[in-house]
Amino acid sequence: MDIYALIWKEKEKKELGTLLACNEKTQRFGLCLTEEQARELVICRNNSLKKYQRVEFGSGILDKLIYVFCDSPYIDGGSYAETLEKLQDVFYAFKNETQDKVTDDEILNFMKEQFDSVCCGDIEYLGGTCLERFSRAVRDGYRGYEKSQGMGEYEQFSEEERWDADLYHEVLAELFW
Amino acid sequence: MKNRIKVQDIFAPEGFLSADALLPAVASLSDRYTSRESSSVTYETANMLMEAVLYCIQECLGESEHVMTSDAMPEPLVLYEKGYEAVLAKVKSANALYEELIKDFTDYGCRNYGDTVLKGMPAFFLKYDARFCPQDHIITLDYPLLAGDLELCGVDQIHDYLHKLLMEKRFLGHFDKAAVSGLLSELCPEYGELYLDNICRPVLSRAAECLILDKPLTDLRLSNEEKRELQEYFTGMDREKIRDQKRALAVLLAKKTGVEEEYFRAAF
Repeated sequence: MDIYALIWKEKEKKELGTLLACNEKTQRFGLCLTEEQARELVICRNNSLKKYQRVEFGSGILDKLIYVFCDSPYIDGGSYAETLEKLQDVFYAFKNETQDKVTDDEILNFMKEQFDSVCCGDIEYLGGTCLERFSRAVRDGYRGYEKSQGMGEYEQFSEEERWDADLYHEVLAELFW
Repeated sequence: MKNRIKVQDIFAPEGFLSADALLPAVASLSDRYTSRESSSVTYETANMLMEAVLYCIQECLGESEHVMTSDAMPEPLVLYEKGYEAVLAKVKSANALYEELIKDFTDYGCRNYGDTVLKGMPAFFLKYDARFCPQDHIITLDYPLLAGDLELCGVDQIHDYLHKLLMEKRFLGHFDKAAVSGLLSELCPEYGELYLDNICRPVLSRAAECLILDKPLTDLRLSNEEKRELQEYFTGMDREKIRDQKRALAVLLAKKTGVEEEYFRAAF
């Protein structure tokens, strides 16, 4: 008996409808999935689940992912479907990397916050740097995200110097005085 | 103890349920496992939960008084919940057996026996997860039974193990403690650390030999003369015949000591 094949067959029926229903909410951000794109997204999700050896029983993560990321300034109509495909892949990788210790909401909050700030929409940086550092901390026993729900977490793990008021004034002074 | 239903008996076409009918029960258990905070689980977790559902359903069907047909079969989720209750009841029953076992318990100086009962077994009751992993009995049960059932797992294995261990304890209780320790010492001078086999087996065997020699059963010591006498008795018998004789005597001993005859019969 292949339990996974059964689960996917059952899920596929419901999922397309759910994804297309998301368009109603995302349209105001200029984001819309065609039926073909929705189908492609489901196939990609299934491939990611296989790749990361995971199983989804319920409604899955795609609709949540859409709602969380739809207002991002770094996603436009042209790259919408492709960005979702990459984000869901990063999401499952992160679930494994954190050994399932972080909830879906905490991961999505963390991903969205970094995607819109330090990553400036760069998914490679999100997966390869931000999530890599955060998941290493989680594996080492860090649990601060439980209280913060994954918000405002990254600064303590960041290893780069970023713009803040002091640095800004320092650079201004170097340039103009 | 009722017979366990095999997994293949549950599934269609010959069995009661189709495999996909189990999915709602597994999904519901997964929701519970993740507290609805994770939409996905690893293959490893999914397998564990699937096995948990099957284990509880087997438990429920095994406990049913009536044979169920596919027409009268309740939903798998209902079967699972009933099975879960049966698992909990079995844990309680196993705990009662354990309480009885450790009452006036003696390990006869055999460390493997003592550690398994006094150190290993409590870990089962502390860590057993009836909800999400009832198929895992956690501990290794290093002390071998006279006739254990290696196919069992989860609380079924522990219940069966304790039930049989208690029978063996009752049997050993009919012999003087020093006589049992003396026999073990005769078999293995450093038996305290090194004897890893079942204690009942040599006692049963020696008691059978005492019956043959018409000696008192509580005295488990044989002189060299008696050993020679015994050798003569068995001369001319092939291995199978000797086994048959011992089996017959073991059953006789079981009757005398109040142990289930079948258990001692299976030991030889």
